Amino acid sequence: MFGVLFEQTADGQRYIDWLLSGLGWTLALAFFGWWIAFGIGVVVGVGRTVQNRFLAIPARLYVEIFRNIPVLVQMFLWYFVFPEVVPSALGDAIKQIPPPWASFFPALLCLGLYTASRIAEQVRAGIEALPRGQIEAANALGLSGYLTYRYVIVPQALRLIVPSLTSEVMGIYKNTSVALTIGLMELTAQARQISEATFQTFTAFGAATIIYLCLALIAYQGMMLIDKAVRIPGSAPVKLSADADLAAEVQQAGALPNALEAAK
Amino acid sequence: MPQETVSGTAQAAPIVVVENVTKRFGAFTALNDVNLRVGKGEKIVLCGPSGSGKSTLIRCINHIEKHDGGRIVVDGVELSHRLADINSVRCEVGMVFQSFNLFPHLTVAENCMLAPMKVRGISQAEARARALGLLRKVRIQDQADKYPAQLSGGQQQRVAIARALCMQPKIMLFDEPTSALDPEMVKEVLDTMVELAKDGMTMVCVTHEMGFAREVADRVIFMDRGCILEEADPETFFRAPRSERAKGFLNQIIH
Repeated sequence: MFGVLFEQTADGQRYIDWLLSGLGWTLALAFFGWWIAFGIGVVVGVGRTVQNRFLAIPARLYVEIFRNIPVLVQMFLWYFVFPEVVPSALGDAIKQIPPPWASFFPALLCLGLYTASRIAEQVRAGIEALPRGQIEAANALGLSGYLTYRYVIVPQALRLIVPSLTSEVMGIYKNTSVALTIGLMELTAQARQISEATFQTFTAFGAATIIYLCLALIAYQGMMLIDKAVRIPGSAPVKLSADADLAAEVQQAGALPNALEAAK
Repeated sequence: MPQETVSGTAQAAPIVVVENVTKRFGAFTALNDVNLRVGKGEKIVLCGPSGSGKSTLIRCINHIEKHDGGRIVVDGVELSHRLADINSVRCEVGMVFQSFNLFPHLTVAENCMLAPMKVRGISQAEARARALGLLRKVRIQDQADKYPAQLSGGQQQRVAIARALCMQPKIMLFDEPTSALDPEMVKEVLDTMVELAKDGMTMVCVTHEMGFAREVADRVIFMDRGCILEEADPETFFRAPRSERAKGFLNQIIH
């Protein structure tokens, strides 16, 4: 059924090469977008939890803006509107960027910043799920606010949210398909091109679907490995015991999903 | 407010001065015009019914709670919200919490090394040597590379004591250090605290461990409803408490 993929195209390639090229763009977009999202997400998420209003208010605004505009609209904004609203010299320079990159960079920015707003909320929820005593202990030792976040709060919060970050990893690479609307020839766009060239719609999108599914499984397994690798020794995911401390621990673990619900 | 200072050492060289301090949480007055002087090397036990303000008082001493009125001077520095660098004061004030509050993602040794390295700026090797030395002192050096969740409650609390001592503080505050422990682990923590007291550390302990109070305290301070009701040496306090509330309290805890 996938035989058509190995047929010659008009440009002398095979259709499977189109798909693989699309996969390359999809992976590049998801991979680099993820690091933008993670970096900004952690900073903004921390900003949501600090007392200082000059940090907390911009962080809140960031999340509200980027999380609440549909990702498709954001894609159009970065591609069509952004070059028009910046100073014309910069706008012209952006319009001079040659074809694949002219779509890739706006898509990268769009997905990175959008996913960052979602990660920020999870980082915030992770930080808020930590026991208050952690901050007090760090304060009592004389650690400054920065040192407390850097060495005590963020490392623990990130461990807590690994499971929910898994869905963000999957989310960002699935959202890469939106980039086809601004002309990036990523996986979905290539599948559509194959379908138009061969009229084998089922085959073209069937192949793309299988690739997306495999990517999802790989991402999931990867995140499971990370979860295991960063798990704190001695703290099993759920321990059931009559011991009061453990019961409290379990309750804290249970508090996170609630906080995440609230965050949504 | 009747305030009789029993021990002369308090006047000699006060390292903590609490004057007319009040603290409110909304409509609730946690501390009401509290006065306290702690001399260098002095050991003070704070006790009283739950909600009497004893924990709030020691949390004000390292500014984890901010007092609303009055004055607190620690090691010559007055605590106020204007104080630019509260952390330099906190370096001199170690604190041990009821719920240990060890950092679960760091090993025992790393828990002890973090603040000395990042705040005091000592080298990693020096911090580790200091941590292992103090862990040996609390008899837990063989657990140095384990994580807190792998230790018993009593062991965790001894690590918490070592962690605070690694900053080489001038004062140690204990906020009900044995209340969250299983009975058989209370003694190991109290023994550590007794040793620390014998080394001459200045200590302010919120505890209901009356054996400990008798053994090390220079003064026992009884609080109720945000006020210091009684202040006496342990023998006097336990044998002949003056106030009715203190009598009632002692009857309840000494079944």
